[in-house]
Amino acid sequence: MRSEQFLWDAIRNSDVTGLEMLYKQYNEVLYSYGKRFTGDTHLVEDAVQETFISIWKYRHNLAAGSNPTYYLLRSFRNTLLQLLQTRSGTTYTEESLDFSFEVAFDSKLIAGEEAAILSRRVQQALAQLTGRQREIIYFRFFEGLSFEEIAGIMQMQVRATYKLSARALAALRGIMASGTGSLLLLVLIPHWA
Amino acid sequence: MKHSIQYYADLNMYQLAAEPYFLEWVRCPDDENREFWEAFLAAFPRKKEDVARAAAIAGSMYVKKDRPLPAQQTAMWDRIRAGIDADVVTAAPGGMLYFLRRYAWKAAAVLVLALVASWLVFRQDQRMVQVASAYGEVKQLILPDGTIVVLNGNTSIRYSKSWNAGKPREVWVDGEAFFKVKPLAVNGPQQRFEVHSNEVDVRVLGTSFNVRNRRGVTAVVLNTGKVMVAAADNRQMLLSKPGDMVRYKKGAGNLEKRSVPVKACLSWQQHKLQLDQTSVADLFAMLEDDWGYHIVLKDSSLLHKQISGELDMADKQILIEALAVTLDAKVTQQGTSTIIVMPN
Repeated sequence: MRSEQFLWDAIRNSDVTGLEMLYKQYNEVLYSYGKRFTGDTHLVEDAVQETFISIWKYRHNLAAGSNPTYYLLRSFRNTLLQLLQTRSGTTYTEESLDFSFEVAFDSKLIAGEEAAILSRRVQQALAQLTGRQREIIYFRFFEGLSFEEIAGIMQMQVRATYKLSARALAALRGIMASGTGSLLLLVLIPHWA
Repeated sequence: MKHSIQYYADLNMYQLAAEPYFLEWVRCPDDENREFWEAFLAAFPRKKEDVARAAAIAGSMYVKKDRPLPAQQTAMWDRIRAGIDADVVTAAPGGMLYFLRRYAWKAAAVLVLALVASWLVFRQDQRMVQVASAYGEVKQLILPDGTIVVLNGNTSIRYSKSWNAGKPREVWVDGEAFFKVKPLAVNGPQQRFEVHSNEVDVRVLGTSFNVRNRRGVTAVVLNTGKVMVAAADNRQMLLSKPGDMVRYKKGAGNLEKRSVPVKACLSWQQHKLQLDQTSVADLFAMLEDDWGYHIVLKDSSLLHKQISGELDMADKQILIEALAVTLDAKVTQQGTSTIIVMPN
């Protein structure tokens, strides 16, 4: 059981301070996750708001033991995708979703130029994946979520997440391997100079 | 795709760090990839250093965050509040404190956010550094992340020699210390700062505060920023205003919060003791705990007297004279550390 559990209990008991604390703890996580789907700040803000409003609205139905991080991400993702669909007037399929992020490294471990080359390399490889493949890589590599949790958030079968993840990684490997020659050059140049 | 260990043999550490299968091992280790990379190391022992450094680089990789500005966060919350106003909103009577008292005990475990998986084999040097100050010595040191710590006399502090990204920066304190925590880079990896003192933990993300634990009582005083103080029994309290103080007594099991003058609590850094209705008993305890004086008091009724004012600790002779005047007593010194107080 996590320490946020008590916030959950407070909300279920109609205590608005609990909602406020949950909001303070999670609004950044949700907002930055949302910005990976779209650059539309207002839309992301609206999705954050709606997520917390609906938690309050359905507080009596919240399951006692559920994990808030997971619940919030799942509910937020749903809300955001619905908003994206209604505002753009098109029907989004999961396949056409965009998801993008930028990576960086600890500057104490790797110098500016080399870090820039490495980030660009990872970035270029990620750019060749589909949005969904990037999203699962994001959850696996950077958020450390389990396949079960990812399946819940991305609304798919657990077995499908294994497949999606394996396909994404295989694609990445293929892309990286084909570019190894040029990477070698890029990395070696600073040492020759 | 089938991997062969030969494929990776000629890669340098930067190339390794960018290899998806290497990243998988560092970020999401499982039996299969662990076995593969151990076999790789067994076959190419000369790559050990490269692998360790590549693992550190890959482990430090993070996603840049697009955070909402403080004004945006406030505006969003206002709109949420407006959106739920139609409902019956029952705010907890007594606000945050009541709230914490009512629910905090339910928190069964401390939240552990381990974003980076355990690449145990290649963790950097985990040896601990211990620094201690002598009685009466005020000592300043800088931690591996640039955080400034000032130790009061007779205080020791322990921390890991190297602090890795993705793990909390942890410090153990016995005695009294002031912390000016190095703030996080705006887009940097989240690295919580934690001070463990007695049975109390202080969790921060860039702020300054004072921790004192003596005789089983831990007191945390906030100077700037915000900190969350958590006791061993998982009670938690948020300090958000300068001068907010929380006390925890070992065994008594409750966190007490009140407001204190910040300056007085930090004056030890200038070798001064600021007393505000302080009992003589507490003053003597400080002289013993921080300065190593042994006080011999000929009349114990004096212990309950309360005194206010500032004592300059830099010069022992001045201290003895000040004590004589404040306590209305004859104060003499015996040896280097014994002070005899005989009321007039």
